[in-house]
Amino acid sequence: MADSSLFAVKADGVGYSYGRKRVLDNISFELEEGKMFCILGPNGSGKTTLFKIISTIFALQDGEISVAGRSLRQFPTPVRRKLGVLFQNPAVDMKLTVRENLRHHGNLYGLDAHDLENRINKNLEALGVEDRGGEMVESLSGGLRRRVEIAKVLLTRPSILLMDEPTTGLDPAIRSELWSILSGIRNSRKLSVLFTTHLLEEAEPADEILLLDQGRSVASGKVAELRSGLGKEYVRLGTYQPKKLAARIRKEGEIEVTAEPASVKVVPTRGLAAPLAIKLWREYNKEVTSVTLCRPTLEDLFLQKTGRHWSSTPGEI
Amino acid sequence: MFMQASTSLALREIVRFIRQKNRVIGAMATPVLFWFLLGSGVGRSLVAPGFRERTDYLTYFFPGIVLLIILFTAIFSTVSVIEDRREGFLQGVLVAPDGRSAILFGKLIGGTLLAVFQALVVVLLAPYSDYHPDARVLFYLIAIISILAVGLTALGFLIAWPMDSTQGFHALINLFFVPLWFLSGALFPSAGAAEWIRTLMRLNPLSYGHEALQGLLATRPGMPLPADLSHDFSIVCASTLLLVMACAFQVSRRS
Repeated sequence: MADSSLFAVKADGVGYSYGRKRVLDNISFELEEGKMFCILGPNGSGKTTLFKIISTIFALQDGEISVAGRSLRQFPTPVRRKLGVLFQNPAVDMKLTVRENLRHHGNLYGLDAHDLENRINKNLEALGVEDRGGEMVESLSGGLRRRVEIAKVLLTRPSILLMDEPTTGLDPAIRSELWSILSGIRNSRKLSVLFTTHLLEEAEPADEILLLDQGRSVASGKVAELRSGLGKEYVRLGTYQPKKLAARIRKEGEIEVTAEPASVKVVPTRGLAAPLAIKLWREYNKEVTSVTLCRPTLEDLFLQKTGRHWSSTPGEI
Repeated sequence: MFMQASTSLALREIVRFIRQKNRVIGAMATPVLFWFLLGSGVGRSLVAPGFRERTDYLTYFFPGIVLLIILFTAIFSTVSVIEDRREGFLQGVLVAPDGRSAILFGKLIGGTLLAVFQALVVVLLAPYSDYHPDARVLFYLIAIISILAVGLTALGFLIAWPMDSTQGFHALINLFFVPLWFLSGALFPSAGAAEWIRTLMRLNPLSYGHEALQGLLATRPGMPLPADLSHDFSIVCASTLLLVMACAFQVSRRS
């Protein structure tokens, strides 16, 4: 167990059932200190259940989890002190002001009153909401509520930040703003971060990912390594008639062609994708609306591992 | 640290209560209106055994109304458990180091303070129903109201904790709390009731709370305290203790 202290979170063979329904099975992963880890999965993949187990809301049924070297099963209370938890639904009281919410959170963790006020001021400033302290949380926009919540969670100086679908319900501009704030905080406070998401693009910046599907781990590791295992760069041709175009291109030889909903995917079996892209653009110029040179993405990884398209999995509304 | 967390949660209950004006109306104005309308309406139409001589219903009904205020306040402060769960606030508390017991004690302390405050405001109306509590009686009144408030808040908490909809909670409340109150002596004395109702009333711990309230309010300055008081107190205390223990057990369980 000595080496487990190097990991912020280490999960080994975690399983969970609701009654007779198995929703998580044999999940193992490691989050190294100071790194960012993503649990990626479509709706119903079990990621929120896994999140609730790690955040100590649900009891650990099967397997073991250690947080900063301590067993979550044996020492839930000291483990809770290490964690900062950001839920999908903001855990703030709408009827209280921003400051009251933060003060209350500090009291829950037993922070000294004077120290608490200092921390509140510092955190509100760090999240750019210092002028909102007196406002009721219910009067704030979704993005600002998130920031208030982050300021709240960081009050107790956790060493591990857990976030469940942190950008749910936010529009894309606010989403990227939030991520840049988070990455700044992560660097300045040396936080280890674990988050869940169903958005492929949000998983990309993570150091490592765990890809979940129907309660099972289908892939895990560093994003770049997972990608490189997926093979070559390829060309994607945008078109209104993917089937027809695919049938024509197939005659070219030394390529693999797949018709997809609004595009055709062309993978060279010999040679590079870039010259192929130019060639295809010239020859099929009339039928093609766009040409994209692609590296294999996490979407391809999901397709390869599960045989299903990411977009065909039920989305989260 | 545990006390700091509980106090903070209790304070939150009170702040939320004050900010939601309709709750003040729901918990205090409604019972007072019931009392005034029903009490004046029935007036002296009914003379049942157990009524004091020349007692009108306005007077008889008064201790029951104090009980109803405690009951309503307990319901309102525990329905917030369900709201807290739905809105996500509760999750934040549950992941705090002692969050589970802190939320229980926060709700109990907050609910009790609100109930005692509101019940006392209504007790100020007592002289209008021919009751004249002095300082000694007031002390015992506060004590019994507090213990009843802790017990009823615990009962509400016990029901609310596993629920995820307020509609379901209200349905259970109507089924459970209201008959409990009916059968406490709040509306009618047990003396003239059917035998099986009398049995139910004897089994209802709330009856002893009602009896204590009634007895204390009827104690005029200089008179000795009601003879049954310690008996009533011990039953109410024991029931309250059991309910709090049941709550503690319930919150400690994780799914």
